Amino acid sequence: MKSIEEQCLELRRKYQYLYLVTRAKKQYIIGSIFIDDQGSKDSYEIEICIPKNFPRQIPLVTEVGSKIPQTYHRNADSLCLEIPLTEWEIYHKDKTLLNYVDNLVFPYLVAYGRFARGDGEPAQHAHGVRGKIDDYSKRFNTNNLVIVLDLLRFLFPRNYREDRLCPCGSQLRLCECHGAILSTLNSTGYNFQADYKEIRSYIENALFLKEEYRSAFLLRPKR
Amino acid sequence: MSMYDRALISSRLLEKSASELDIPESRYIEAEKHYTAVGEWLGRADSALAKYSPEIYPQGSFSLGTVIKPITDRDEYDVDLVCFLNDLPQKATSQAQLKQMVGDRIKQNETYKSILDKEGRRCWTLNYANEFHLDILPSITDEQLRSSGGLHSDAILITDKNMIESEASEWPKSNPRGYIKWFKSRQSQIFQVLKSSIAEAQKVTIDEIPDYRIKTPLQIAIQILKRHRDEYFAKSNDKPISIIITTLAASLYRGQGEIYNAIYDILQGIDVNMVKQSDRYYIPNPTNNCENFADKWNEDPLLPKAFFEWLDAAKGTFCSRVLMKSESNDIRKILTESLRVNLCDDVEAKPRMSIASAPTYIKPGNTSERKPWSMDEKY
Repeated sequence: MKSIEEQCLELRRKYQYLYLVTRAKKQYIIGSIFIDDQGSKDSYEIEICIPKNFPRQIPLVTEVGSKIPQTYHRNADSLCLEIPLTEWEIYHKDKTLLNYVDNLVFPYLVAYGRFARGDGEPAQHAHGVRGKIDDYSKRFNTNNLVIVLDLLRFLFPRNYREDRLCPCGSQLRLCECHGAILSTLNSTGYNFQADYKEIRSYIENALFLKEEYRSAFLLRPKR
Repeated sequence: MSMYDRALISSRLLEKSASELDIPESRYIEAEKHYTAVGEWLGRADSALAKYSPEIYPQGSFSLGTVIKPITDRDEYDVDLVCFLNDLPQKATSQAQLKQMVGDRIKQNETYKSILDKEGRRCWTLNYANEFHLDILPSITDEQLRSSGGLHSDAILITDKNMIESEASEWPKSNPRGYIKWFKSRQSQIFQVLKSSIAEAQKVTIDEIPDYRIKTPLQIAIQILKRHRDEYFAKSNDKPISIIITTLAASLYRGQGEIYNAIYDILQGIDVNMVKQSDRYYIPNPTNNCENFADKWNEDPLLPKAFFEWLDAAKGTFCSRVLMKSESNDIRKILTESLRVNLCDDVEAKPRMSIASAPTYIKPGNTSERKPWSMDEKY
């Protein structure tokens, strides 16, 4: 495991205007990122907050040059780089600052630049909990949110049982059906419980849901 | 102000500080004149040394372009010289004889005799009052090492008074020329870039620019760090020796065009594991790993302690305080205070020589391309 200082030097070999600073006992990577996207040159001022329990916890990044408007994909206190699970999967492959910047921050800025210049392509991901729902629906290959939630429950710590019947209705055991995707997701160490709770409460509160979702969901007894 | 702008302004201020620390060109030329004269005296036909084809050449910071002014006017410059007897084989002499021969020849000159200091451990020292002292290091070829080639082809054997007294048969080794070559190799790329950009600006050919006019970010970083050290250790005797700072800095330098970035990476790159090997402090001479520049650290624990305390202070100044300031005046104030240099005017003015300061724009690779987020959906 490389120290944060070593990781910063590694990062600086590519991003020569990013620096490590400590403010109020917290470490940050701050600085300028320069992008040349097919001839369109841009620079951004960013600030990455390195969490206390890094690398177990993913860093947070903000844009401090007031270039990216609040209406673009942003969370309250950071840039919304990706759907959190996808973000985690990318980060999980190599929990380093270089990977974080290279494969999450940098592509986000490139995408924003294209959007700002008007050559961005149509939306791929929705934002917030709807983005999560879309993402899980795609991953589990189902539009049925009840199934999504049931499958997610298997991803709680120590909850997976491969001999159980798959909740998707295939009449197959998990290991013969959605088991493969579940074990892949399980190996990422992502906190699925939080997503589960968020999606569940969103559904329960969303009265404008499509009829089929609502009936399917409301018929289901709470556990 | 973006971080890039801060780095740029800091670099300019650092460059300006370093130019304040530079040895004045007149002094440089004078020192050169003096040591050439000493060299001639040693090698003249009537000299007992003549048959060994003696050669005088500078070593140390004087030859590396990293000399800095002493803190007060009363302090003098050190000019380190090697007196190398090309044709004196090791088996034909002893350490005592070599030291004696060179000393005797120096004393034959009445002027030199009058300014000769008492015999040093390895050198003969000529004191030019209020200017500088020339340290003359008697040496011969290290035949054994030279045969192994590479940087070793400049290896020399030197003398040591303590070893002479203890009648040791082994000779201390050194390799100042190899070290200079190594140092130059660490900055060769940027050196060429700077040289051609200056030649272009002055509309002359590259060969017309003398090497000593070029100051690379590495050399400037070393000057700044040495000055910071001199200020930090103004009242202490534990200050780390220049060769340690120079060696660590040159090892960690990787061609940064920006002075600020060079200094930042050097300071952040030094850590305790880098200077330790199996529990002993070890900073090897890059041209001969048997020579440990940090030898004394293992005898006196106060030395490494002082070094790391200074390193923390330097990091605090250059890697933290400077970065936090968004006004060039604040950055200037920090540098003026910690380096005690005069930086009062034209901060924004064009740097003395154009440093390659344009940022590298990074192009998106295919692997990390993603489509942008949607804007029209609100949830």
